[in-house]
Amino acid sequence: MTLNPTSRYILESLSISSKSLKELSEESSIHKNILFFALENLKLTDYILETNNSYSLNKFQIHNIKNDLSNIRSKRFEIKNILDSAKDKFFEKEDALKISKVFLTKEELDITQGLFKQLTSFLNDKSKKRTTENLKTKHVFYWGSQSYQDVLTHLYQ
Amino acid sequence: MKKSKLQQRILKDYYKTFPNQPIREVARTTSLHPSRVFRILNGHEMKLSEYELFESAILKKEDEKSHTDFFQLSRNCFQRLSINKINNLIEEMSFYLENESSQEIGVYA
Repeated sequence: MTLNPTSRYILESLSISSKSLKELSEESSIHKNILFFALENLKLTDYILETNNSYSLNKFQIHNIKNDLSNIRSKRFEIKNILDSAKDKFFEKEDALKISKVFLTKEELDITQGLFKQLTSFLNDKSKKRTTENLKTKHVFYWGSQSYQDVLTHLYQ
Repeated sequence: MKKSKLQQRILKDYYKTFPNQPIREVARTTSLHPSRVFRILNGHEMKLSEYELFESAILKKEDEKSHTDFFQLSRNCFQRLSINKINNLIEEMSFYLENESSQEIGVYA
């Protein structure tokens, strides 16, 4: 099953702690009506439970939830959401999306890849730490590279 | 009689959307009586409900145009783009739709 980014957010947030609709709405700044329908749909799948107006993850469904969150279509949905947002902010916010087209020698390419590896390992380390902080204070980073040739051939694939 | 600025603007917008329409045609489009249209065009002050009729006629026409443009564009895409690109478009459209339909109960059931 494909999970849209709103459902993904809810599941991520409830994996930290149980929350009410009001708390989810305050944390995400998503309107309560939208969250309500997403919560109801997740309840229908048994992925979440509601007790005294508080929502929590159904621990017996963790395996299925993980499968759905990592299926290719759910991932593509999330990537599209993140990159669309970055693309729309590209002209407004200086650090929303950085793109560099550069010629690099083999040695320079190795150095760049080494720096990216360090960054990846630093961020992976940070992402493993469970935190009780508000999810909306999380930062979303995206990075990577490809050859200019690949970018050009993608145009006509 | 002096027309209000709002009335002048809506009539200007109306004739931009429906150029050279005769009174009878304006009456048909806005559902107003031809004699009332004649008076309005000659400076009689519009009622709010009449303003809304002109406004909704303009909006309806703009909607029709954007729908036509969209369907024309889709047709061109399907005729000229590769399967890969068409699949990307289908995926994009279905993602937008799935975001919208998440505001209905039963989407995952």
